[in-house]
Order: sequence, then structure tokens, then C-alpha cells
Amino acid sequence: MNKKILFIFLVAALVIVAGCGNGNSEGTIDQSGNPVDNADQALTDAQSEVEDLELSDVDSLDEDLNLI
Amino acid sequence: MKKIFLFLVLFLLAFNVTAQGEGTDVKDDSSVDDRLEPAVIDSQPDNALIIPEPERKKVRERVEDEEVKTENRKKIEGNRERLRTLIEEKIKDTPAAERNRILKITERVENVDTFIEDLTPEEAKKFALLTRAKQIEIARERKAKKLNNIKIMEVKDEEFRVRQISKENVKKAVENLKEAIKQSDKIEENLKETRERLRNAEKNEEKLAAGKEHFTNAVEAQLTELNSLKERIQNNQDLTADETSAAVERIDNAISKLNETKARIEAATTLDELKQIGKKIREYALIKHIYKTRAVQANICHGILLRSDLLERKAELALSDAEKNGQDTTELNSKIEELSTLLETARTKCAEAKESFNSAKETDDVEARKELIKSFIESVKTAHKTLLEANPIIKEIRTMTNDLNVELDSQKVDEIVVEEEDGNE
Repeated sequence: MNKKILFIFLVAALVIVAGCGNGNSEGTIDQSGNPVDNADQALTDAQSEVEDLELSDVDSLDEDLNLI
Repeated sequence: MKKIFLFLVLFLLAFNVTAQGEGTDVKDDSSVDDRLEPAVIDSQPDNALIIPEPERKKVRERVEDEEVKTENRKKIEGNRERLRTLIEEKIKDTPAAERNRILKITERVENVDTFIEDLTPEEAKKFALLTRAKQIEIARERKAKKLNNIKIMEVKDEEFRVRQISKENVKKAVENLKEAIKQSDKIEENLKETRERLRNAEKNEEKLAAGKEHFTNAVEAQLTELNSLKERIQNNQDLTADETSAAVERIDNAISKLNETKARIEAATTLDELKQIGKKIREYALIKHIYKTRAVQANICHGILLRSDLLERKAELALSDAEKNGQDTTELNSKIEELSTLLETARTKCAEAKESFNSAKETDDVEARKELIKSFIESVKTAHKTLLEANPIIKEIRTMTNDLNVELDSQKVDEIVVEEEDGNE
């Protein structure tokens, strides 16, 4: 009898612990990562792509068209 | 057995108390309002018995300056109290630390109370969630209509992804495009030789032969980039599914037309025919630039800018915490203002970029399109540069909040406001 009660008690305890754990992870913001460092990293990642933004190939084609 | 029981009961009780403690939210404490007074001006201890004249002059100027400040402060104090009551009435569900940010702008704008008075509760809430620079701009111009274009967005994750794409796929797509640009640059190098031949050709037959080879290589260079650009667009977390589909459709169309062009170059028999084909290649190159710039602009003007906006809001909340603790927040306050101004500049540049992108996409005039793409690129570059300038300020703010023993990164912001158009991208 005692073993049965202990088993039910343990299951209930696990449910409560899992529920509380879940409740703490709820919310609208994903807290993983550091927002300041994340923004910093994203800016650094964008750097080389920003540098690649230029119309040199179009200008060259303009020049080519004038040669024909 | 009884001991095990007792132990489990005690464990559960202890766990429950801890969990409740973690969930305590003290944000909406109206008594906090009374503590949000302007920062107290520091006074230096005067240890010298005889003060030299230059020092005395400085002190005199400072006293006069303080008198002016006190006068101004008195002027705004009356309005500030009325404003405090107004915002408490209109947006009582908004946490005090958020709504009281409006009180700060009374130092920059006159009669904020009468401006807020005319707003509906919904407009007042939008206004309360704006960044400081935007609040100042709208209140100063008294343009409540601008709030119509602003919508409240729930903060679901701090990267503001509009589509869930794995970090590996994003990274791979960016790297592949970089590789494609390198390959394209190599082809461009080879084009120098055929261009030289084209320049030196005297007979039309020679020109036609050199031109055919030249344009075939030019098409290859465009195709290399376009294929990788498609992957870059498909794996961009800052572009909606609809926009991605539309962009991919146009890129696919350009790829298909350029492939057809290769056969047309081969079949060309006159220089004029070849010239017309060259013009088409140029048109598809411009399409490539529109979406290449758009991919970068989306990352900068959606993802990075919103993350920076969020950090500004977090900094404001940290400032409010420091004020509650009675700490000197003058320096932190002025850094936040500096950050807010830079973010507003970046936002303006992003809006200009969006306008150029929309026009470039729609126009059929190839020359006008080229000019619009130039402006588009210029605005994106300036927005990126401005955000780069804002970055060290964010880091300084973090150092300041650390020194004041208040949290920055873990401040909880549930909602932010975005321009309506941004959400529709």
C-alpha cells in the first residue's frame, strides 16, 4: 500500500516539477544568447556583403556596349 | 518510508517557494512614478580657502547655468505632473517603467501633456513604446498621424526572424554567394583580355568574334552570381515567404533569359544584334543588383536595426532601475539619447533604401533603374555605417549599467513598435 502511495506521490511530484520548469521557460523573449554580442556579430557578418555592393559589372557592360 | 515521505514533502515545498520567487514581477508599481525625478546635479566640495579668479569665474558660470536649469526645470515640473497623471490614466496597463519614459522627453519638448491628452489610449500606448528619438520627433512636430503607420509587435525572439531558417543554412548561403562573387570576379578578369581585343578590332568580323566571346563570358559571370543569390534569398530570415517567392521568380526568370541569351550570342550575325543582346545582359545584371542589395538591406534594416531598437528599450528599463535605486544616471541617460539619435538616422536611411528598392523594382526605364539602385546601395551603406557607430555606444551603455549594478541584457521587453511597412516586407 505504502509503495503505491509513494509511486503516485513521485509521479505527481514529477508532473509539478516539469510544469514549473515549463512555466519558467515561457514568455515572449528567447533569452538564449547575449543581445549585445548578437547585434555586434550580425553587424560584423554584414560588413563584407555591404562592401560587395557596387555596380562595377554594369559600368563595365556600359563600356563594352560603347566598343561595339 | 515515513522519512522518505517527509523528505519529499519538504523538497516540494522548498521548490514551490523558489519557483514563486522567480516569477515575481514588480514592474507595474505605481509608487515607482514618484521616484522618477530628474537627476540631481552634483556639487563639488570646496576645499580651498582662497579660490583663484578663473576658478571663481567657472563656479559663477556654473551657478548661473544651474539657475537657468532650475528655472527650466520648474517650468516643466508642472506639466510633468499633469503628464504623469494623464499617462497613468490612458495606458495604465503598460508597465510604469515603460510609460514613464514619456516623462523624459519633457526635457526636450514643450507641452507634451497637451499632446498626450489628444491621443487615444491605443495611440498613447504606441507612443510610449517608441524609441526616445522618435517620441521627441513626433511630439515636437505634434504629428499624431504618424502613429497610424506604426504597429505594435510582440517580441517572440530577439532576432526578429520573419522566417525560421537554421543558422547553418543562413551561413552556408552567405558563404556560397561570396564564393560566387569571387568566381565572377575571376571571369571579369578574363573579360579584360576580350575587351582589349574588342577595342583593338578594326574589321567588323573581328569585332563580332571578340564581342561574342566577351558577352558569353559576361553571361557566365552573371549566371554564377544569380544562382547563389537565389540561395541567399531563400535562406534569408528577414524576408517573408511571399517576398522570397516573388524575388526567386524574378531571379529564375533572369537565369532562364540569360541562358537563352547564350544561344542568341552564338547565332548573332551583326554587331547591332550583338549590341542589343549586350543591353539585355546589362538589364539582368541590374535585376541581380536589386535583390543582392535587398538581401543585405533586409538583414540590416529588419534584423539588426530591430535588435538595436530592443537594446535601446532595454537600456531605458535599466536606466529606470538605476533611477529607482537613487543612482546618478546623468551619463547613462545622455548615452541612451546618443544611441537613440543614431538609430533614428539608421531608420531614416532604411526607409529611403526601401523606397529606392520599391521604385527600382517597378520601373521599366533601365537608366532610371540604375540610378535608383545606386541610391538604394548608398542608403544601405549609410544605414550600416550608422549602426556600426551605434555599436560602441551600446557597449558603453552595457559597461555603465554594469557599473550601476543594474541588468541590461536580461531586461524583459514584451512589445516593440515597428513601421507598418516594415512588417509587410
